[in-house]
Amino acid sequence: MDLFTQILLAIAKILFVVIVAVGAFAPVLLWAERRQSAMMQDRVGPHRAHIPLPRSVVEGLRLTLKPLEAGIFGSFFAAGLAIVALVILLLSSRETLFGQEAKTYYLAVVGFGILGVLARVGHKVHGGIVESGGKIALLGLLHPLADAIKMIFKEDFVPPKADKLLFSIAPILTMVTAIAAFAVVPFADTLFLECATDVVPRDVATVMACDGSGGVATAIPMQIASLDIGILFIFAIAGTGVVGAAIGGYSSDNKYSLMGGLRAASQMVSYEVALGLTIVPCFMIYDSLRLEEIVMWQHEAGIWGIFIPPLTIACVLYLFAAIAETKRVPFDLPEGESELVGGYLTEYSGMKFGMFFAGEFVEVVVLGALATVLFFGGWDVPFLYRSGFDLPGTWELVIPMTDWVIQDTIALQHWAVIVIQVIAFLLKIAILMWLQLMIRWTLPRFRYDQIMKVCWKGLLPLSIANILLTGIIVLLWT
Amino acid sequence: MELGLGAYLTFASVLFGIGAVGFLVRRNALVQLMSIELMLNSVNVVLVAANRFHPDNHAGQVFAFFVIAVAAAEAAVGLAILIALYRLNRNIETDRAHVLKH
Amino acid sequence: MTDAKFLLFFFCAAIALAGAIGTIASKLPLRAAMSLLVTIIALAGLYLTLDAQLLAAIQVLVYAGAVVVLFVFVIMLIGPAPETSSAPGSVVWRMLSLVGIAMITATFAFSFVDVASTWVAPPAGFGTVRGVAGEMYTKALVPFEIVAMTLTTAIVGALAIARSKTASELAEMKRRRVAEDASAAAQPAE
Repeated sequence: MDLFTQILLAIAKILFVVIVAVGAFAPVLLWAERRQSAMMQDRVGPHRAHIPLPRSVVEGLRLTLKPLEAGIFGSFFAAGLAIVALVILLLSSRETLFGQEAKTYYLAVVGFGILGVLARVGHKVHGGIVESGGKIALLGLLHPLADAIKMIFKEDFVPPKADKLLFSIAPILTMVTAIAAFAVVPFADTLFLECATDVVPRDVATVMACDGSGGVATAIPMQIASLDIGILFIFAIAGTGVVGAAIGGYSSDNKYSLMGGLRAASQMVSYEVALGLTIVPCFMIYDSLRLEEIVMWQHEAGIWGIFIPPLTIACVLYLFAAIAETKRVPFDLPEGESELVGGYLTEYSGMKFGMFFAGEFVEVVVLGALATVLFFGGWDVPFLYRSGFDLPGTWELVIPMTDWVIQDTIALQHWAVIVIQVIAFLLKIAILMWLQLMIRWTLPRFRYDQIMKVCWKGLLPLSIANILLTGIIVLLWT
Repeated sequence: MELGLGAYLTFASVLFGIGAVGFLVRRNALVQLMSIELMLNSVNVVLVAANRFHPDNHAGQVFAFFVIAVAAAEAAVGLAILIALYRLNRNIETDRAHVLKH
Repeated sequence: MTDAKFLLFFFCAAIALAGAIGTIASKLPLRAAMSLLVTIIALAGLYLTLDAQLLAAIQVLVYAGAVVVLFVFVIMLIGPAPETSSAPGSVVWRMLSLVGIAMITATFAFSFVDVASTWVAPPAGFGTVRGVAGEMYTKALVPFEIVAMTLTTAIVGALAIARSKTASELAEMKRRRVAEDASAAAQPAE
């Protein structure tokens, strides 16, 4: 592989991570958070940001409502008729009905069913738009966008006595370190460039090139940097992020900011220690610091980390420490508005505040990704291998009246496997983030001494005990 | 131009010099502690570079690791002393810490 | 040494030296701490040119994540405290010491500049986690344990030095002083 391709690939991977982590996940997380909180507190939630439609278009939409209703009815009716036809075929053991084979009716059931569901969704969206007088709110998904536009164009106020240089560096430091931690996270299995449209053999270490040249296929690791230090990189980078919050609070020239910065620094440093110790059992069991090897271990062993007993404890402790590390409710003492106005963010406005904000959300995504890799198998999908799905057992399922067969092995092209793995990885992160949201909107805020007590007297001894336990288990096991 | 071991040693000696100057010129105990960190770091550069020069074992890197650990301990104790000094004197200038001199 | 490493060396070295000068020259302690952070990260880059990956990570982890944060923490606790005047009469000595150090540094630097050397290709696993840790836990286990004890002692020592007296301790001191005064009053000196 020449240098040019390498650089191109690196840029592509970086763009993917930045777009997925910052461009998509952070706003969606923000949206989900607002939706969830609105649902739990019985509020309307984000709904004001919208794209207005001209009146004539709205009138046109109003006219299509009736036809759509008819369409829903028609689709479901047709699907129902097809089902009836299938039942008749099955019971009467005839080959055809009205000159059509059973295959046609199967296709009709699925096709009209999907059409009906789509029409129903369309009708609901249509109705919503028409009822609101032509406002496309997209469930409030436009709200983060509106927030971003607002923050960019807002006045960027710097307190007159603030240290301007440090005041500007702090948000950059927070956001950049949060994004940079993504560099070592693998988001899919190794991609073999020449074999993208072929089925790759399942358990071969070096895949031969599929173009018939006899060479070895170009293996592209699906992560930005494959470092030997792996997780240590994430912790080193995240440790630098602490400084951002601290100097942000100090340079604001505001007592509340100072207190917030102090709290943020001490809380993050404390929980970083706990966070580091909670995942030590993972290294002992996976026998590697490289994230891609950790995922590969779980993939090959066919068991996710969370189902291995000492790691189950580690996972609970990790999630606890991770939520505290991101300084979110119930650990948001550094910015607790009932005590410190806005904590270290008090004086920040405009895009600088936006950067802190984005940094916080990206941090949630990063820690979710790390939890996914360590405890939930990373990109691993149960029964999905390089060659495609391989469900347990050997069986065949013939769909009655047709020659269609469902097998226990479903061969998939290489690119499809990779895409499924990426989607699975993102889905796992999304679920973990949702879990964090639920915790956030369920629990009240701790007191500061309680936070410190939990960290130093609870998490730390527990995680050290867990390391001992894992050591004993590993010694007995091997 | 070949980048030899000399480049690293030169760099380390300059860094050590800057640290030493900082320690002697500045009277703020905080900055003095930071200068000590600079000097310790310059030593680490020499250790790691020498280890890379003789790469059969990791003695230099292990030693550098110990230096980092001791530097962390030194920073913790030094800053604790500094806080105690501040509580006593209401400033952290080493020139003014002369209670036992007279 | 490849060209990329050559460039990386000069880039990191320049940034590290700039950061070091910033550390000792800035009037505000917090800016000094930030410059120290820059130096430390640049030094981590230098370690990467020397194939010492683990040490680079530890450098950032310990210094940026702990030591600099500790400095920032103390600066936040005691306030900005810019440097005021220094003790009189020390200027000459200070200049002399400065010149002396500059000369020593220059001597070292110029004597090292010509140390040309050819690098040996490192064996597989050089500077990796497995390599360094394997050596640390076999050959250097005793020093490792001693360092661990040093760190524990340092934590306890730092706590003992920096903590303020608790309310109960103050009450105890006051009670003892009152008792001493009372005993002194009961037996008046001649």
